Amino acid sequence: MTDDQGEPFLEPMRMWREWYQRSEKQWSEALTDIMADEKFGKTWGRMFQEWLHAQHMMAELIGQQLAALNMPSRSDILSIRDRVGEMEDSVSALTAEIVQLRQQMKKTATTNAEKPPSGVKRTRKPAAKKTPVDETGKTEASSVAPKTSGDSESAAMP
Amino acid sequence: MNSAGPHSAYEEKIRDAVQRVLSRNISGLKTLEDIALDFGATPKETIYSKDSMRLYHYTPTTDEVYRVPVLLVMSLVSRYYILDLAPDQSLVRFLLDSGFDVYLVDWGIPRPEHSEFTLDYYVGEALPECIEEVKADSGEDSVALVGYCLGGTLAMMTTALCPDDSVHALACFTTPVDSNGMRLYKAWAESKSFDIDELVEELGNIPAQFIDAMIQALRPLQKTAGRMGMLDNVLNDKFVEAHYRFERWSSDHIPMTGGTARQLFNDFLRDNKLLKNQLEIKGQRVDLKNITVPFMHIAALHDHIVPAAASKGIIDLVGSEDKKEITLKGGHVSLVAGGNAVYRLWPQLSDWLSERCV
Repeated sequence: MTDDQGEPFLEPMRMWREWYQRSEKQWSEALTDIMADEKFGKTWGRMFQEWLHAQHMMAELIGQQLAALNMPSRSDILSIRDRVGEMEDSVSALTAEIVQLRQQMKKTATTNAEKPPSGVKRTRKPAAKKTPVDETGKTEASSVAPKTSGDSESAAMP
Repeated sequence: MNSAGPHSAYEEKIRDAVQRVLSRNISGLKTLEDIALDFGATPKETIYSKDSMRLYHYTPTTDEVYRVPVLLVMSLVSRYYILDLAPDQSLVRFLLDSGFDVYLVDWGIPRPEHSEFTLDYYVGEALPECIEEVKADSGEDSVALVGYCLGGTLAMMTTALCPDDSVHALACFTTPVDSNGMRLYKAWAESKSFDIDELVEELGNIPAQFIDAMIQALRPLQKTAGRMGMLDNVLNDKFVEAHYRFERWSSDHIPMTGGTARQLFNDFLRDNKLLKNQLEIKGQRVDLKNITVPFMHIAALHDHIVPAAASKGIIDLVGSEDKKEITLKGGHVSLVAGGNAVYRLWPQLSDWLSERCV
């Protein structure tokens, strides 16, 4: 937390933020319940189908106008992206081929040395002693772990 | 201005408040500027590539590695770099430093020509090919599979269908197998108002924005709450940095091929075929009881994407004798990449694998 924790002066928004964060889960669950309802599903499903048709019509209409102006449409840009993707795939396939060729050359060169292709020994054994970790994963070290965004249940990520 | 009398205390407080706001803004901008695009930065080579899929081999960081290589299998809707989020926040790097030979399947971004790809492609073709490539590259005759989220489901299905001993051990985190535990998606899949076929016909692949919206629908206000949490911690550089990294990843979903979406929606979500051992891959029934290799599943206590109910009983579905299920603190993503993953999931996984990958 910041150094101004517990100092609500000029921070009325902070109280609201804290309330929001505390009650977010309940509000989210209530909204999810509504979305799981069949009535909502029907309305949403119908709206979605209409949106699909509207989007299709709009894309055609705008595409024609952009073509008349000699400008690329979204689908033109997307097709360029796909072409770039295809080229990336080709480059990646070539890279993989080169890596495999290099591996084979290395393998041939080190056949007598009886070394595995990656050049590392595959003989590692587990350490005899391990740090005990309980079911919640708490160790002594975790109690001093730095607080990060990823630790919070209500953090921005799923 | 004179600062005598009772006003001086207020002036002091106002000055402090202004300074605090300014320093927050400066700190915030500095953090934005400092966060380089350093995700997925652990040194690796692409050893196999097919369509948009890539198979990476990470450069070992130890002279001696465990005999059995580890193959990480990502979900179909998320970018692979959540497992290698930053140099100091990377499951991949942790496994490397623990002495594992690490490979990873990145499904990449499907294009319109891939829209017909179904689970038959991913489970029946691509993943088995990756396993063969890893075997050839490492010189070993089996691999340990580690699957995250839907990647865990793919890994389970592949293992169940694997005719030989190519899979040595299987570890999954937050892996859905029972759609009854995914209440909202189940309701949508069972609703007659939602036509997945029409959607796929119209769009081809399911766009990334749509995937993002579906995930957000599970906890609609969470993102805003997370951003508010960030405001309260804006002077904590580590917190802000981690927040931006997660934000970037969580808004970087990838489209799902139309064929897979249709299959998952109908067979998995609506009919729950995987749980009933009725799902078919290339005409072959997937029976999870055929999984007899050492198996571990790790669930997250606060997971709202794959809640505990969606993976409940997973341990009873597999036929392995050596099997284990644990629940750790954390959410769906913080379990694998949060600040405390290094104390929770990573050592659990590493310890479990190390005893089985010799």
